[in-house]
Amino acid sequence: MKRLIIIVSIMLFATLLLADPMPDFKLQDMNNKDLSLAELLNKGPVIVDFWASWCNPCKTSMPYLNDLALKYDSLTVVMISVDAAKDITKAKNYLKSKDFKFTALFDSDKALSKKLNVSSVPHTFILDKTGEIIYSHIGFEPGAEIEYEHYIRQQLNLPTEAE
Amino acid sequence: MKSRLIVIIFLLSVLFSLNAQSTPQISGLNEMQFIYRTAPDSLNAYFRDSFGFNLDYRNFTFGMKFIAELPKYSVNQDELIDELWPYLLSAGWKELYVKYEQDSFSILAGNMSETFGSGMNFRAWEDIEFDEDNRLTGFSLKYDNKIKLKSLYGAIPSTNDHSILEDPMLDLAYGLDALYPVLDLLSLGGTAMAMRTSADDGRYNQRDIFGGRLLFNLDPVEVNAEYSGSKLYKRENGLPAQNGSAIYSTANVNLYPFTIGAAYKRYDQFSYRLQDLPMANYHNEPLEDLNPGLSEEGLQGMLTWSAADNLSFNLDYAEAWNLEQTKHMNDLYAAVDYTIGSSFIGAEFSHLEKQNEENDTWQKELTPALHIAFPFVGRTLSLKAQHKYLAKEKLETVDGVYGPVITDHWEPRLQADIAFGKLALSASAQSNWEDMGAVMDSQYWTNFEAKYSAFTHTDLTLFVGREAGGKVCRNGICRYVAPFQGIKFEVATRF
Repeated sequence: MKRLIIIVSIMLFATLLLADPMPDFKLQDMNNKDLSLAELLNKGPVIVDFWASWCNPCKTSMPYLNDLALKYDSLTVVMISVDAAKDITKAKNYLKSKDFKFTALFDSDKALSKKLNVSSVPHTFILDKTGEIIYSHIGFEPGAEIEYEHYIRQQLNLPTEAE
Repeated sequence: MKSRLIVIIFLLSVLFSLNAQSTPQISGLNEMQFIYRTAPDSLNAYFRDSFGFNLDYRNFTFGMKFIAELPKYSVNQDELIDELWPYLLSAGWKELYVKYEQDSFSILAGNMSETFGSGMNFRAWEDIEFDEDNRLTGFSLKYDNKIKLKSLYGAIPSTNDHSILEDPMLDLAYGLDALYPVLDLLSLGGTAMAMRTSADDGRYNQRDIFGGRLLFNLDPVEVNAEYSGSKLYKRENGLPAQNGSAIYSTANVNLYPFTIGAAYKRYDQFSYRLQDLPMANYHNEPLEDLNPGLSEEGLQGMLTWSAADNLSFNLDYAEAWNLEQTKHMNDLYAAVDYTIGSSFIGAEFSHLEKQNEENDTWQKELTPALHIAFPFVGRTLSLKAQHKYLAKEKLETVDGVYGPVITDHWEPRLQADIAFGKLALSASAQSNWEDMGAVMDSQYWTNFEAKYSAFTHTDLTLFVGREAGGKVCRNGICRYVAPFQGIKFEVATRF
């Protein structure tokens, strides 16, 4: 009987562990306006990518993420800079010079990246439209965008073999 | 017994159904490292495990990090361990905090990282790779709505040597920061901070800091300006009070495809531990490595031009000097990026020069770099090459003659990266060429790293070789690393 109780407790605890939603956040955008997670959800899946202005692989990933944002109307791509506060201007200038179409946010206090244990960049999360984390990946190597697209298409109920 | 079981299951189910309305959110990271260091010490094998965990439930957040370093690996190569001493074993909680948030209020108790404004007046942070911990332990209270208010009170172990005392002394910091959008395009902010630094005589020095800042944003123009004044008093040994000041401002205009920007800094006796001074140059280089901000002024100009979707140019130039005009520095960065399909070519050039008339020293760093990426066996192969040149001149006595002596050397570096699905490989070689006639006898750092993403949340990394340390980007990840030689095997699991 004791064993049964333990099994049930473990199962319940495991179910709790499996729940993997993105923690709620409110961060400033390029125009110093607040943007919350709730405002980014419900349209469709969301790619959240943590980056820094000194990180070349992060910059390499951006055109690929921008292409995904342009290709799928229901997809929201959010780039979150973890640059120190003194380097926010540098990060903003980089994004402005590229004319990317995605949303840019700034987490210089690392409040969100700490909650998600982001210790190195780039670190990419894919969320479904309810905010559940369905995929995460550290680093960016050309070809990783194919896997991102696979998950996005899955969320959009499209055939997973992208054209 | 059966009825008791049914009651327990029922209670658990009720509890679970209640939780379902606001499910606990758990995220964590465990990084386990086995290190075999091939340094000439008697202790080559190290084990390190870092377990970080965050739990969000309703309005509460609880976070912790436990790190066991058996023994603690020194990032300083001079500190080789000859024997295993008990004090080198390190295991304990490196982070503990609890946070409560409701509406726009939040209160946090425990370890905290925090920045006020640009970080010029106050920044508490942690740099794990370099074993620097400048976080405060204390309380913070925030209100985050139209007006943003931050207040904190915390302590940090003093860097002064008080080994004669039984308990380590603490430095204290407390203050308030506010930011309010007076107009849609203009926000005004202010900071009031006090820091108490333990002095040699066991008492506290007091430093008060007051600052104001503005953020102006009217597309395409963005202007940030920050001014602060400080007063250091109650100093040890009856030293007189000292006033300091700081100015930092940036202005940027985005006229796509052009972005033009400028920055200005002026720091006078404005240097202390819990701050992160903006340096107004591309490489964030201070005029002096020790105590930046004592006497420093500088200007920066930058320009980017996206000539086409696949072609961009970047130019950044800065000059700095001390207020007495006896020290000078210039910093240049120029880059061009060109993309053709899945191929990429980028070229960079950095130039950094410092001159000190007070002790007749001069130093220069030139770094040309080339980065190409192109299709190779159905994958993308990335190659990076840089050839840094460093020269220094200082007054020395050589062969009985006192005069300027110039020393210089080259630091060539090559790196190749390629990924095969979940397996990423990187190899690099770096050297230090002082005598071009004896290149083969020079010191070399060669290394290889393989990263494999196993399952959805686990990365396995194997590093073999030597590296000089600093910022390293390989296998798609950038981080700052300490100098190392040997083997590292790491398993990182996210949950």
